[in-house]
Amino acid sequence: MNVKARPDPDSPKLKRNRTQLEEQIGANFSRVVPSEGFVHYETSRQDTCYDGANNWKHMDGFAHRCTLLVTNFYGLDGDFRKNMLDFERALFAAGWHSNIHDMAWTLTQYDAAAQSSHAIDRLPNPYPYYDGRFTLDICWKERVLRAYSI
Amino acid sequence: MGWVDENNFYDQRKLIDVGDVFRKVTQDHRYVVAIAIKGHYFEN
Repeated sequence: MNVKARPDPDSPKLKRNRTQLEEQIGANFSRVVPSEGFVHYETSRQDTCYDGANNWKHMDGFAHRCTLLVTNFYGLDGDFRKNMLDFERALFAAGWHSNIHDMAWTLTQYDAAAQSSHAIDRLPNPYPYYDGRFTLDICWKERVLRAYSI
Repeated sequence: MGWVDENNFYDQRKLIDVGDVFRKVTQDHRYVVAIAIKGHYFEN
């Protein structure tokens, strides 16, 4: 498997594929992130091509792969639990699914954390969502309004 | 939501200082939510 040739990342074909994928990722963001409530601040972008690891111990199943990762950062206020459940509803409506636990499960401890003034940082981040060839990950943090002890 | 790998033979990044973004966003908002979407555009 590892005798296959590495692709040329600057070839017209890969450039075209990269551009198409970036457009599709942008369309995915537009489809699932609410235009109200989520205030966009920054975007980071990571575009990599890498060798797969295929040996007696580990099998990636590919010789080479190119991946584009786009991360958008949003500010959010209001009812966090409701906003995130609404966001997940939009994800499901757009065809995404979660393989393990859904947002409601992740937010099980939200009320307890909120009542004891713990930041949402104490909650685990949601499990990934999938839509065919795409994976969506979520991370969250909260401005700590007052100190608390563990 | 990123990765650094010795197996990378192509690596183009537009990365940002997450701490800086957190400070900036939390001046105006209580929560920061980062949403990352990843896809592959080549595999052999």
